[in-house]
Amino acid sequence: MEFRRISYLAARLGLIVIAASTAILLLSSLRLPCLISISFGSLDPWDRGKLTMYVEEGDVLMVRVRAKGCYIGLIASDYSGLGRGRIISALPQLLEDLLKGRVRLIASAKGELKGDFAFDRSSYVILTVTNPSDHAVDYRWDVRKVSSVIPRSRGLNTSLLLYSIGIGLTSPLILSKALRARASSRGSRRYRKDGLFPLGP
Amino acid sequence: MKVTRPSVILEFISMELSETWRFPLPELFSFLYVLFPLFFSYLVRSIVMGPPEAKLVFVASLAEGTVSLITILLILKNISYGLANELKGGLIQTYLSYPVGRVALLSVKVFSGILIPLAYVVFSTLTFAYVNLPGLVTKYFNVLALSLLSLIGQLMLAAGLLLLVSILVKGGGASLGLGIASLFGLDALSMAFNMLGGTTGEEAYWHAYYLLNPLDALVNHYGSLRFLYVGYGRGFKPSLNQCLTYLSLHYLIVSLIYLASFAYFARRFEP
Repeated sequence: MEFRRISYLAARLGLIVIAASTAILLLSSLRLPCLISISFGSLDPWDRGKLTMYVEEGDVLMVRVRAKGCYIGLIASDYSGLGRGRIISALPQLLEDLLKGRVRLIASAKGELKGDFAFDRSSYVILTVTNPSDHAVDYRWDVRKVSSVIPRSRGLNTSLLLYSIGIGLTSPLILSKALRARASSRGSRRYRKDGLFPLGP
Repeated sequence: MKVTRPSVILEFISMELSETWRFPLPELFSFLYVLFPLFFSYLVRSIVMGPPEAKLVFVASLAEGTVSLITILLILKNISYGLANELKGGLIQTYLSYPVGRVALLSVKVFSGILIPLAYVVFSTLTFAYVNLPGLVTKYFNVLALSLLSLIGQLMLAAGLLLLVSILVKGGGASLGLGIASLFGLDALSMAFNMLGGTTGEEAYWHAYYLLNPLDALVNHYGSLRFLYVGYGRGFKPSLNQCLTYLSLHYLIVSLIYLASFAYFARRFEP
């Protein structure tokens, strides 16, 4: 009697935990597109346009840049690298940072950059458009991000953990019910064999 | 079979749970309590604040903004409506004829009507914090625990007032109305302290305000942000010791309200 009650209580708690983990799983699989920046105008000679963004693990950055004859770069770094202002400083410094792994070059192009870039870790991303010519150049960028509501791997791990706790809590009741059903079906078979209408040989 | 007092209390708990929290209500609430704050995850992760602890306080503040209203509604339904109707309908009098003490009976009601909704808030806030800021949760768990205690304290104060009103009024509709009015009054008092503190600059008003809202004291101490806040933005910034004092005194007030409710129900209550 007490076991049944305790196992019932545990099973209800297990169902509560399973419901919570379903909410986490649902949100970690939900991916939302969001607009980061649309900008257009003209760049003066030797001028530079830049856009700083933050991306998380699992995010996809959709970048469309057009600037005739300009150098376009997409660079990633951590917050400290961003804080030191090293990323988009002078070219030798950038090369040094690249070589030492402080920054990562995600993509570069001249004139036009189009692509979807997936990130496997959180980082700050800088889009730079530099006009190397001696006349003004028109530019246009459209940057969007597809991001999950909660970080995917963390959400999956947490929901997996909660699912296992929930299943662990509900299993005693399910097992005991299954055993009881099996025992009662055996009992009924015996009864029918002993009765007036046996089931056969 | 010998009937012992603990077994009777357990029977009452069982009855109460199967009546108030029948399937699938707890499961549905669990789903919604976890889902709702998590929608604001990106906000928590992307906002840059001063010290790292500020983010954990913001988590509690966000949980307060998203789930406290639902929790108060649940408590209103369970206590102001449910308990008061049981008092009016005579069900409590029937229960009191069983070999169970008045204090034990009210404790069961408080457990089912107040503590279970508060457990949802704790579970929801902890899940929210762990999913979004796992590193900070392990590193500054004391700050999260303090924020959570403040949040729970504020909800317990409101719930305690509702309980006291229900026992005193003993009628479903009237108790619900007066309960809502008392919550409104508490908010108005709190806001009055905030406004007076902001306009006059007197610290005493801020002390009174933080006594009623210890979570806001922590928010101001850590320079965190508030979710759904109406009031003076730049309030008096308390020290951590002051925050702890506000919290202790707040719990003292909460304890006094619950003691008054239990004492009245045990000694003076006449059905």
